[in-house]
Amino acid sequence: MHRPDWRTTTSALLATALAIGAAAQRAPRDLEEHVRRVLPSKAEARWLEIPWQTNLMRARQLSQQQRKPMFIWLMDGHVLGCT
Amino acid sequence: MSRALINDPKLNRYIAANFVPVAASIERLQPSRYGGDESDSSRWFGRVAERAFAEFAPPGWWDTFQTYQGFYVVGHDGAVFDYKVAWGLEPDDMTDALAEASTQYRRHPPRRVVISDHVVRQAEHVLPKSVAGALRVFNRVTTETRSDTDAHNGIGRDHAWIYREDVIAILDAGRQIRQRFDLPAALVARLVRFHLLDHARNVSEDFDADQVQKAQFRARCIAVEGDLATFSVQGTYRSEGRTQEDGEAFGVVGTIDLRFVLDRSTKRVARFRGYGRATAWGQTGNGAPPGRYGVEFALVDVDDAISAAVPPFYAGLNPAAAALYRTPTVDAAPGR
Repeated sequence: MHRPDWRTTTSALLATALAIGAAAQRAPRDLEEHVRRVLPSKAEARWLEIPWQTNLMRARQLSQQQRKPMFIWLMDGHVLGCT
Repeated sequence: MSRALINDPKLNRYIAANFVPVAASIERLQPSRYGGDESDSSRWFGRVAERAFAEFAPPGWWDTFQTYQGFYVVGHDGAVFDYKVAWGLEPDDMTDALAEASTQYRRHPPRRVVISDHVVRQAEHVLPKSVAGALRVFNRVTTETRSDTDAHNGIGRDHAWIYREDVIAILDAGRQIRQRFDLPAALVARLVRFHLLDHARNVSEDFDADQVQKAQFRARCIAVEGDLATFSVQGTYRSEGRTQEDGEAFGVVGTIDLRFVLDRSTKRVARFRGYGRATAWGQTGNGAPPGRYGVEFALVDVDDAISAAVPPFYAGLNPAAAALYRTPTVDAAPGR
């Protein structure tokens, strides 16, 4: 029974794995471009620069420690998720 | 509308500098509205809301809408310094109102209270262990069908979850490179019923199982490197229903391309990209463009504090909805 040389086999597998790996890392360029076009612009996402707290009880602790009132924004659907 | 307000740079900086900002949802702080479970946070906030509505809400607001939504300025002890309905505010008016509320806060500083670390930990929201990957889903009305109305120029947002059992099923079905298979039925149903919806103006109604006429998502593994397997998916779908509010027909028909990488050892989503185009109609009561209009969707993986704390809209409504979100079905047979 013929047994392939392990060094040849290993090299071939490594080369194949590298090639596949490179492909795996990239989505097609047009897919990436389409996705980018739909994502929010910097101006549309400025509200996310505010350091929002999502834990109301932690916010109360911070409010007491920092002696600042809480500004609570409450919507049907989470403000940071789907509204 | 509220996001446009908070996007104002001056107001944005003012809030960040002078307040502890809190973002929340009705589902968590007024759980009775959607049949959810009460919590320390919701019980505490219920008392705050009662005070806010008694003192600051427009006459008849509560009787008409029965919702806590809006902007609040609150002390850590629950004292309320202002409440504003979220709609129709201009940034300068909002800044002035916040400045006045800050003044009142300093004049009447809240009393010291004990807020234990245990209570804080109990109120923490974390990504469920069953979730193998969180996605952020965005949508826009396409430029060709957008009008001058601000409402059509918005961006819809939500989170989506892919569960560990979805990943295991995909890895199992996609062991052979380039062999085509159907994406797991629950994942397909989750996407078409709860996520491929136009949220650009407000939360859209979702679809019931019998309102999905077509949901065909064909997948194949296209590459493997070590533990990472890359999959490509082409999906086509069609759903049509009637709004609960006024019985108007609404629907969406579209296609979507997904490309994602799964980690075979951790059974988690390593990377995810999705783009879809669709034609939608109906929901004009929600401000949608008249007639048929174009919608684009983008789905990207996300791993940050917000995605860990904030569930997909439907999954966050109540425990029964969360269970349905994980294992939804559609009546349309695979391949139709």
